Amino acid sequence: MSHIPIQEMTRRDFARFCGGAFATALAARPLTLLAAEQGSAPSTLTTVQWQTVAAICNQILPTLDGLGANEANCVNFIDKALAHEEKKSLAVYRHGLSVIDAFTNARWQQSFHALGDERQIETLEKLEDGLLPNWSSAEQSAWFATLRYHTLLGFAAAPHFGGNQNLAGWRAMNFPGHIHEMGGLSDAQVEGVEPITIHFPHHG
Amino acid sequence: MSAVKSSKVIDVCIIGSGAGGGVMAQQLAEAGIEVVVLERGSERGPADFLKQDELSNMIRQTFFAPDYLESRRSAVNEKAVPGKYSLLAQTVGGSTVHWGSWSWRFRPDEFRVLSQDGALAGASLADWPISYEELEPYYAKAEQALGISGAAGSNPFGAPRQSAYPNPPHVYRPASRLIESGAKKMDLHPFPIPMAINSRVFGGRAKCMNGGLCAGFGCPVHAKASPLSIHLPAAVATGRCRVLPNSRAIEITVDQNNRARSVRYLDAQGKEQELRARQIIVACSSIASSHLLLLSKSARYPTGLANSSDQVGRNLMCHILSQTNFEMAEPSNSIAGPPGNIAIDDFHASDHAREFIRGAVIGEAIEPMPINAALKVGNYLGADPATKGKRAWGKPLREYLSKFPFLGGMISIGEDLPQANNRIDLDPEHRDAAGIAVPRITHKRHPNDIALGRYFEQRQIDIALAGGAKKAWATDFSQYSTESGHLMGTCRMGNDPKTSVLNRWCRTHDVENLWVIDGSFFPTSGGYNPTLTIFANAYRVADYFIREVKRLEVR
Repeated sequence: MSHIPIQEMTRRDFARFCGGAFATALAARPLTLLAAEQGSAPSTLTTVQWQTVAAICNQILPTLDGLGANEANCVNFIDKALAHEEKKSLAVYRHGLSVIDAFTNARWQQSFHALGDERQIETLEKLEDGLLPNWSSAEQSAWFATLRYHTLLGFAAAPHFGGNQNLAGWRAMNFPGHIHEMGGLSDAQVEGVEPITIHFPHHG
Repeated sequence: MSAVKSSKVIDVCIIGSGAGGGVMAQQLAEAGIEVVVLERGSERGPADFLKQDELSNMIRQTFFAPDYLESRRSAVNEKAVPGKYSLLAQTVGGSTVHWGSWSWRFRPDEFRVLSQDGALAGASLADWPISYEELEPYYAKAEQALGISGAAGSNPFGAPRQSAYPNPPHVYRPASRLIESGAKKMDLHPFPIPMAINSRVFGGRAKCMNGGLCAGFGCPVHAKASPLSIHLPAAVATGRCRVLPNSRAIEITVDQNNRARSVRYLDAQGKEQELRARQIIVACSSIASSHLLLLSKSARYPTGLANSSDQVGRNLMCHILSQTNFEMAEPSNSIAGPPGNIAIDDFHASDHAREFIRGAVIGEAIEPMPINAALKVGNYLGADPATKGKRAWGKPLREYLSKFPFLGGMISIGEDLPQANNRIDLDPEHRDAAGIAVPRITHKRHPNDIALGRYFEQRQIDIALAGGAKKAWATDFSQYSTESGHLMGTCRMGNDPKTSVLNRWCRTHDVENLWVIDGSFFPTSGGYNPTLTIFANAYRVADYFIREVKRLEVR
């Protein structure tokens, strides 16, 4: 599936291709787990690319009540996925990041990650609408959709994949985690007669 | 388990260990017949199911379908894009290991759609060659075997039934009660969903632990019924059934007398083996069963085995699943319990005052998965004039995620219409890791499907709002097809060999000792989840098989 040229695909196909089919292309074992266990140093992205992706994630899912993409370390999830399950998206990722930085450098003489919120948001809105120069409109919209999708995965997937750090994503959603790992719930709790106590067993 | 010696001819080879294959294995082995079950997937159990998560099971599908590849397109003139679209479980016990467990009997009218509604342009409607009355005792048998929990007689629009359910219904969560209240205000008739999940200890299996992750997941305590927890252990206990996991059938051969002779398969090491059997049962689910027949080309069957009708692979159906969510003022507890507890069936029958034929059941769909809920933010924002048109990221996204505990949901299981061009064939371009042409799905919705889906979307929203939901909104069902996991058709059952693949006993018209016993036989799809009907039909066919065992030259 790797050899399908991007220009032949529709926007939706591209988004699915990057977000869905790519994700499933590889091995039975979630290799991301291994990479994520080895720590949160960049494994595929350069430092600047890491900072840019982190800044985009932060705009997509800003911090509220102390919990957002930054706290969940969504960029780490993406970096590790790009090493394995999403490996074939890496070149597309790098290309998108270079277009974004070329735009912000030409316009404001600064890299994306160094810009203030207003300029970052303006840039991302242009990206989502396909209005950045020197890149096909459909591809940049799809690129943004893919990054948004990966941010949500990094936020809400189980923490052993490298995101949802300190269960920041699940805390933000008040999701207690895998009930089957905690011994289940009583019928009275399902009914709402007794409360479902959320104790986040791994972290505080 | 070691491979079977290739020189030996066994009684029956069953390919696939899901609802169809699992029932056949148990019934035949208990009747004294020697059975070997080939299962493409590996063997997983409760210890493995403790390690499941949403990303692996639902998004990447690495847990249950690690090396699966198919391709899909929506029209014959398009190039198919390879990927993993269909929600399958390749594992001992088949997709029934990860099913949602809703267990309905099809209504009598769902067995005679063509007679009931007449022909419709673009659809290949048909009557089933069997009636509800013929299947009824086997529905009862399946319900007992699976330990269905429910309240008999509580659905005035359901199929008539003689027997009670073996277990009482599950409790209602706050979201179920909101739906119940809304339905009653609309003079509808809500009732508990019959489910193959133990509401109490039953059949040597545990009571449900209310973990929420049911549909798409294996049950860590076997409270959910499946061949893994029921039929295969019983079959193996007879001493006459062997299950060979990691064994992928790649061809069924035929001899000069037009009898199926053997199954060629790849073993766990990828080495080719051949198994000879007197009777061969294909039970791999709609995509893989038709794929295997199409791969089995010979001089006599140049377009695939048992395909003289050119019907193998055609009329693939996957239901039309309209879904809505609603926001409650109180926590919905939709992360907990079995996958939805309350249903409304008042809108099920074809109604010629509507702009479509056929119908659906509406059921409560719980919202236990955070990623899935997060991905629906655009639908949520679009439902409210204050947020409509806003970008689905930034503060609105983050605020939406905080509402997760207050979300409830509903889904309709809509009867989608069979269409000859919605089909499986062999992808001419793409091959899998073993070098085999992948199954290519061509699937496009009939306008009737879309109209039905939109109608039921609106009924769900009406019910939620009548029940006091703060707001209710639809998610776009039209982008999904085989993701439903409700795969039906591709080897349609019928009395005429020119227009169907299987006879009324699920034996191929073309080859006397070749059977397809899974969801492939469905001539039409019904407005209910299909699996109980797959189970019941397998019990029916097993009875016939055992009755006819001498004439079939099994021994």
